[in-house]
Amino acid sequence: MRYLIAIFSFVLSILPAIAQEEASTFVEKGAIAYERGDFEGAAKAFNEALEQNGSNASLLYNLGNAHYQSGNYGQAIVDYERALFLDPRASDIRTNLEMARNATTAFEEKSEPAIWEKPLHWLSLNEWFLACGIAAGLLAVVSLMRAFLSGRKGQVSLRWVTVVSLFVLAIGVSALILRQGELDRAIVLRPGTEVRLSPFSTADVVATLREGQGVQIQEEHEGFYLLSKGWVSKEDLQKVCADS
Amino acid sequence: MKSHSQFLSGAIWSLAVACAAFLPAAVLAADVSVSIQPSTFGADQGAKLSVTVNGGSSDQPINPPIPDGVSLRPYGKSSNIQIINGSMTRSEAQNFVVTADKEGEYTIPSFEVSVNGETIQTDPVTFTVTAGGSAPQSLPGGSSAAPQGNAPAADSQSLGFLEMQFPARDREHLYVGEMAPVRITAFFPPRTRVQLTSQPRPEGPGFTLHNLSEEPEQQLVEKDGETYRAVTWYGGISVAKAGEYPVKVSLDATVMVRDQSGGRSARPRSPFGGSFFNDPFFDDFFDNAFTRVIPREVTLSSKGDPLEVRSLPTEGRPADFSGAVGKFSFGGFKLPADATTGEPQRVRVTVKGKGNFDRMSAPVLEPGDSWKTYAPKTEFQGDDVAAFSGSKTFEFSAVPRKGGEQRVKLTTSYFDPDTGKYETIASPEVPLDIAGEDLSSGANTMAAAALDPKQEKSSQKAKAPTQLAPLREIGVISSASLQPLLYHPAFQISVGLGILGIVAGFVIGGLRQRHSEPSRVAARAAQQREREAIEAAAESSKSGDASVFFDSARRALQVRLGSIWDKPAEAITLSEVRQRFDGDTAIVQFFSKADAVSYAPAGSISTTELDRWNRLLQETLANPSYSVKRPDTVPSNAS
Repeated sequence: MRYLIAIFSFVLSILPAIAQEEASTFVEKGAIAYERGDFEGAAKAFNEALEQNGSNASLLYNLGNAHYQSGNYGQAIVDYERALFLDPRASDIRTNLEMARNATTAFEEKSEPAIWEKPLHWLSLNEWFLACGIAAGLLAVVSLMRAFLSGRKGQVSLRWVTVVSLFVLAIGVSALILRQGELDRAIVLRPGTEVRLSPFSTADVVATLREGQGVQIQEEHEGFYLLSKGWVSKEDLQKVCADS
Repeated sequence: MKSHSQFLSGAIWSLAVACAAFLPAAVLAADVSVSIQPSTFGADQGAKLSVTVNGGSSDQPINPPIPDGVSLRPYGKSSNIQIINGSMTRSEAQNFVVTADKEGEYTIPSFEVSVNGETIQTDPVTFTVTAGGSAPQSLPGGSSAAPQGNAPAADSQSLGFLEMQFPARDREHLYVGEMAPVRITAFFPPRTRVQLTSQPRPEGPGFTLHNLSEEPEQQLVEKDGETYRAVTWYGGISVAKAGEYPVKVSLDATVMVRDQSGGRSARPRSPFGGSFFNDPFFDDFFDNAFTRVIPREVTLSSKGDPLEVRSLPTEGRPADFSGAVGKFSFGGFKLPADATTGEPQRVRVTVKGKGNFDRMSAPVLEPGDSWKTYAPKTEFQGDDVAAFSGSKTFEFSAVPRKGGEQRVKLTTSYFDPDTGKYETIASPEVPLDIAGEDLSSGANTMAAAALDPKQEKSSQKAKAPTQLAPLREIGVISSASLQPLLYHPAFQISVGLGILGIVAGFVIGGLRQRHSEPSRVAARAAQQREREAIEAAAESSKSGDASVFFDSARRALQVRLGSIWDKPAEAITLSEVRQRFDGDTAIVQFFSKADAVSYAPAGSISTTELDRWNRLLQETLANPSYSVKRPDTVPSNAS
């Protein structure tokens, strides 16, 4: 029994390493295919690496490049936006994302945030969530310490921690409220994607969307997403963030 | 031995009786009969079909075969045992409700029933279905429909009819592709329950219904002297082929009709024999309450008046005509203020009006040879429920090919069905100074390549790698989640605990702070001192020590009054107490007695008297006004 447990533990410990090794192999294959001009082959290899390893900003960025070079701009925009979700301050991802948007003329209604909004975009959504979580935890600790500690000892330090935590929490919550739409953001994958009146493939078309255009998903219903103007087939859209 | 023979004889007799009782049933052959009552009934009614098995029971569920147009619904089982002249017969009946969509004569053919392992063939049964109720033969709306056939259905007892109306207009014809607004109304009897199982659909090739309202309007209406529940849809209809066609729509619905097979006898009559419960009002009431309803699937169809559909004329058709038929105009447009050759510009234009907007293509930017335009993004905003009128906004990219001053405008064409002519409309001209040199066709392709995904990949590949940031070198591959932290249960629990900690900290801190307030501390100390004084008074009253008792009693009262008057307890003296209370109140007596015993030894006071004084003290402290009078039970000489 002890041998079995030991073997099981060993297998469990080396599995991630094996997966990472395989992912590295696919990354190399993808890079070679990309250099050769086989962009579809490169995209396939990078996708395999993502499946083996899980999401990674650099991998997604490389995949975006491969899709861009294949002329698959909608998918490239999805990849770049996902890479930015994980690495929000990377200039190369932003540059290539802008190029992909220009390639499809999928101009964003509001591509650049206002000056006062810029600090709220310094961190990714997850970084803001983490900052808010840490600030809330610190406030909880400070609050409990103030409740149980008597006397003036350490009160000044606690006050500073409270002020800083409250500041971070206020900024973080503002950023998350302002950017909450990013949670349900999706990208149009195909040119001329049709927006229908009802969630049926035979329903009347009320609008068309450009490839690469960013949209906000409001609801899901049997193979269709509800946008502000109507319903779009799920096959024509891809969400940037993973589902809950 | 005797008992054994008695037992044996009893057993034989019992066996004989049992055989006598059950043998006839076992020996008699079973049979199956099929009957229907009544054998003639209306199309909007039903009849009871009974399959009776005599002399046994069916081994398997009974499923009689049914002819086309007839529906069968199980109606329960009944069994019966009869003993006549010592012969017992057992019968079991399986009942069904039979309904038919159309009038006519129907036959339920012979079928097999397995009884006690034996297969028995039934006789066929014939029944007649007549036209339902007292329905007239012509329909008020001119519709041709009722329960999936020709059975009339038009008055309050019918199953409904359908109408399609075009709004009043000058011409009697449509053009191919033209969208005409229509109103489709289904009429049902007001007191029936109806479930719509489809949307109205066009009958016949070439017709299309557009933008039917998803939630139809419902209201009670009067029509030809009858009341109906009207369900109305609005939408548009278009025809794809020229010719003369009957325009007809149909609709599927399930109408719940009352099962008349049981008749009124189904309701138990009044056991009191009076006329009160036999009033027709109660007939309706009990019929509604007890009579089963049968779902009847019906297809309603409108009458189908012929309509002339004309082709669009070829004469005078503009080159950019895309099939839009109606009346349109420009609702606004936005052109770039300045531009440079080769650089993509955004153009936004809105076309408003009435007609088939789905065929309206993006307006053309003129002069045409100076611009290259790309596939637009469109958005339609309907002004009415049928989306017949509204506005369509086009947003597209355009690359200027020629530099210099230009007068730019947008044009579009449509066919006006009222005048029977093509119309071309143009926006006002906008002067635009375009910087840069004219693009050659090659340069043009290069510039456009970044805009058009369908352009040749070779040109893109020639340009893109020089601008696209290169691949990243990936050493160690770390893994991160694309799922927002908000959706991680661990994060949700952590934040929840944090908020709980903040709230708990505030609550506990607040309670502690409240607990340590000076006024509360003083109040608690006063309460403690008062308690101690009361205890000392009680003990001294038992021990008979009068001086200690009155001193303790005064202290208890001082503490209490001091907390009320917000004064130090020691500062409350007999003179102040006399000023605030009547002289005969117990509180004044306590103070004066305490003063007296502190300056002169107390006389002999019995423990009984002290006990009464102690009770008076308790009573005084318990009374919020402290105005307890000295009772007669306390001797006056004690003061």
